[in-house]
Amino acid sequence: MIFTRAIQSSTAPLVKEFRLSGVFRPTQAGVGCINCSSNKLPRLEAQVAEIPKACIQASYKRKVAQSSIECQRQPNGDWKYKKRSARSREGPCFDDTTVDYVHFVTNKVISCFQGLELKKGEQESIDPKLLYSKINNESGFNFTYSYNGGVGAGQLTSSAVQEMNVLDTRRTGGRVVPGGGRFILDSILESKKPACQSLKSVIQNDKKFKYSSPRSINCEWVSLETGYARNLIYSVGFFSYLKHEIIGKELKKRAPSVYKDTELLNLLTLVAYGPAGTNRALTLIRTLGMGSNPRSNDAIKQALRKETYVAATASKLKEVKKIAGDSCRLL
Amino acid sequence: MSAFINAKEFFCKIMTAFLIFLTLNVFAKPASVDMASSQLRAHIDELAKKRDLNTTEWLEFVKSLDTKCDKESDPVRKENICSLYYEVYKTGDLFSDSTPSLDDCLRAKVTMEGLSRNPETSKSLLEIVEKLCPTK
Repeated sequence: MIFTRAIQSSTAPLVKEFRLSGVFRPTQAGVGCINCSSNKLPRLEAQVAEIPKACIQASYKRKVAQSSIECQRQPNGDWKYKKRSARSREGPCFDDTTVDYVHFVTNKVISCFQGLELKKGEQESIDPKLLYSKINNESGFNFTYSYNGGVGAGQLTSSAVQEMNVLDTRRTGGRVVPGGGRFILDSILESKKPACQSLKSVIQNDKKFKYSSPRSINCEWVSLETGYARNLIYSVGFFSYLKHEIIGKELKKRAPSVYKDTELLNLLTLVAYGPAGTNRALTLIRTLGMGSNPRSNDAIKQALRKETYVAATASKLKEVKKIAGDSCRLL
Repeated sequence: MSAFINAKEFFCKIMTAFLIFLTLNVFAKPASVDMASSQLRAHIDELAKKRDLNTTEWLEFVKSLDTKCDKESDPVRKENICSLYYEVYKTGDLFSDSTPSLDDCLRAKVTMEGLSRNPETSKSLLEIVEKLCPTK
């Protein structure tokens, strides 16, 4: 119930906006709650959202053992938190209100990033299905999921956070050095897009607080109020940074015609989250002969789909499809 | 009967030869692969230790690695060399246009760590960046 309480009482601008959105209707039963009702997956919503609520709910139902940190903001502004190990019999309770809020924030982040101005007049384009499959694979939208390998819904690592905000000041001699992807957060802060407005409140002080690791102040990355939004903004931002500034840049240089294939670029970026990291994605540009042999883009995509992370993402999407039936129109 | 024994002996000899061939193949190929990439990694370590290493020399090495990645025809060796190229390629970007700022260098270090596949090489690369980058 701590999430519902947070939604009812939080003064965070994003939560306030959610309360005023008309979606807010406190209920008790939900996914992962003790004695929760069998709450059926909702039918297709009349209103077209980028990631439908039914998909997020189906993801929560794909229960996996995860260690978690449940945070609660205290009146004095400090965080109080409860840790659960992966072996714990009870999981965090994601009731219907919580799922509504997660749905609200997720689509707000997508809307904000959609068409966001990047470097050199480039505009970002988010594929909701790809983002959904990635978050489903990383955490199943369990924003409290936290362990040594990653933090929160997007399973952020400290190197991703450093790239997105500022470098760890212990390594820069105290200097505040923006990371390579910091321009993306700046772009959100400067954006006039309505969807970005309430997200600004979440990240506006991040540079000042010198966040360089999701572990130093964990609740800022896993709490419902602002942690989920921050985690998602950084996760989508880091994907965007890898896609355009690291992998896209190299692909454009080596294989300009292949670079134009957005699906291929997205798949190649997903490879970067696998065990051999970004290095593997870049190496594949050369070993699969992108731009230098007559292999078709479809054949390249087929090879990319066999890569560890891409295959794992597809397999977890299958699991969720079984649960969702035809209720999630993304699948 | 003796024809049968001869056939059996012949079969045994063929099998032994086949096993020797297999063993040689299994051990020979990784050794040659390791030779190619480990020699290049050793060269990076040497360059890191070199006191008078300059940007031109380092960029030449990065470029040669890029060419090797392009030209290698053995798939396993190509993968190793190209992977090594992408461990170092950020430094190529860093020094190719003009002298980078300290901030550029610090950023490149973080990105390079993300691209690393070998802790020893990563350590040498950080030493090289420190050597070639401005201190203020």
